[in-house]
Amino acid sequence: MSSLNDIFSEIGRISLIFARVVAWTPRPPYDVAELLRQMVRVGVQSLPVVLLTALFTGMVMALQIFTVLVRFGAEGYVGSIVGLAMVRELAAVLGALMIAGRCGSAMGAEIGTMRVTEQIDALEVLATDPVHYLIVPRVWATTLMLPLLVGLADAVGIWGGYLVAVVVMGANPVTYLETSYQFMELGDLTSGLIKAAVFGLLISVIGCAKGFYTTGGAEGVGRATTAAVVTASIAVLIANFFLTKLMF
Amino acid sequence: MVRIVGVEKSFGSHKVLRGLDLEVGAGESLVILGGSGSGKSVLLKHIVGLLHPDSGRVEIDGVDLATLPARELVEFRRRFGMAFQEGALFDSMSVFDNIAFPLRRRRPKPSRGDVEARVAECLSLVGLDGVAGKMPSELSGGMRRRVGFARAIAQEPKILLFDEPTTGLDPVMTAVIDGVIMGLGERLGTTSVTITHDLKSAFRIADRVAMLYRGTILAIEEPEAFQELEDPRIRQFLEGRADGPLT
Repeated sequence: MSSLNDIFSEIGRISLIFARVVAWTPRPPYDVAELLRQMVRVGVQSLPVVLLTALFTGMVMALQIFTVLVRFGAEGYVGSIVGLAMVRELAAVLGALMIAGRCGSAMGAEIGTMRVTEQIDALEVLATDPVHYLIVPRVWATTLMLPLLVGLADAVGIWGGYLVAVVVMGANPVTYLETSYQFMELGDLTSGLIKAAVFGLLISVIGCAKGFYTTGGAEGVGRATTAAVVTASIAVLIANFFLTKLMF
Repeated sequence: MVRIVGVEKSFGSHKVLRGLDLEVGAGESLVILGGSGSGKSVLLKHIVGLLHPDSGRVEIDGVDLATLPARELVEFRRRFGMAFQEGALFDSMSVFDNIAFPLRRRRPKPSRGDVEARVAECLSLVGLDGVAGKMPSELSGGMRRRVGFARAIAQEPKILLFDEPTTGLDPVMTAVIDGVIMGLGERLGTTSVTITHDLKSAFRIADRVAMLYRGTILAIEEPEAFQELEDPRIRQFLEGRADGPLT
């Protein structure tokens, strides 16, 4: 009963942070410099990890699918299966999980440390709403940058699949590229990008909320950081199911 | 100016403030003494609206802070300055940016020259010329506390709250900080509430001294009268004895 209570309190706290982000977003002052700084942290600095994940996912997908399809003589469809899997599902979900680990945890730790060292109290005393100052730029930066990262991850994943199928497994390069796009619709691409934006919102709101409500010194910061990653990852996986159901 | 009526506050089953009443007049310097865990910092956080009472009222200039909507409370706090126990400096910003922070968020925004001049003045007041470019992690605990003090006074607020501003400072620097607190009161009519364990400093800066004990004000008097009080708990505290009713 108490754990059910905890879950509802947690959802309440996260919803409250989200509501405060919505309420404070249109209000000045607009800290564009901080938004850009966060976009660099979430976007540019996460490029290597997200693109590497996409590259190897595309490569292993091609490897797996090629060896199965060759049994049916259908290896010409490797490109389309890898392409569709990447843009509809894998780039967004795996990219989001990597960002949850890299940025959600950092947000939890950073804001949690500020909470336990009274920096958040200091912000409030200095007539600055901490949600406006700290959380609004982080949430927007993650929500805007994740679709861009996932767009690039789509391309890199498809290229990784091409590399393995054509160079390693000896598939026909023209057929691979043709089938990659033959069965793909614009909706496949946009659905992946919409998912990425929602995942970005979830990761940042959860990461920041975990940090914001940190208690208990250094140990509390550790707990908040772990909880930020675990909760955000689970939220991404659950939201992925419902978004997929909604969009297709 | 500051009026606290019947404030009670608990954290879980632990009662920290038990029906506390207190008034601080405009321009007055009040020093609050009390043992560790007696609720001094919790009381300061109530005055600035960081905590709200379970029951009772905290009024600043006749406004009950608990009734203010969150956005108005943010604006209302422009009249406060607070120096935290450990400085609470923003560790992602340099010393300069920490002190400039409240100045830059003023509307209309002051010019860059004005901000630079005020930051230099505040740093000089606390004896820290030449550290503006350093990061908080490069400073000692005492220096961080002094930068926090400089940040609190930067925009010359009407009400200043100090949570152990001189703990860990050498006697000379303690006297410097005391001088700044007294100067602000005399020059700008600033109201200040200071928590300290340093009795010498307390009697130097206070217009009145209060003793907090088990969540209520045990006594509140002018410094000379306070030192004459016969209450055994106050005597033990003032004389720094290990044995007595406080232990």
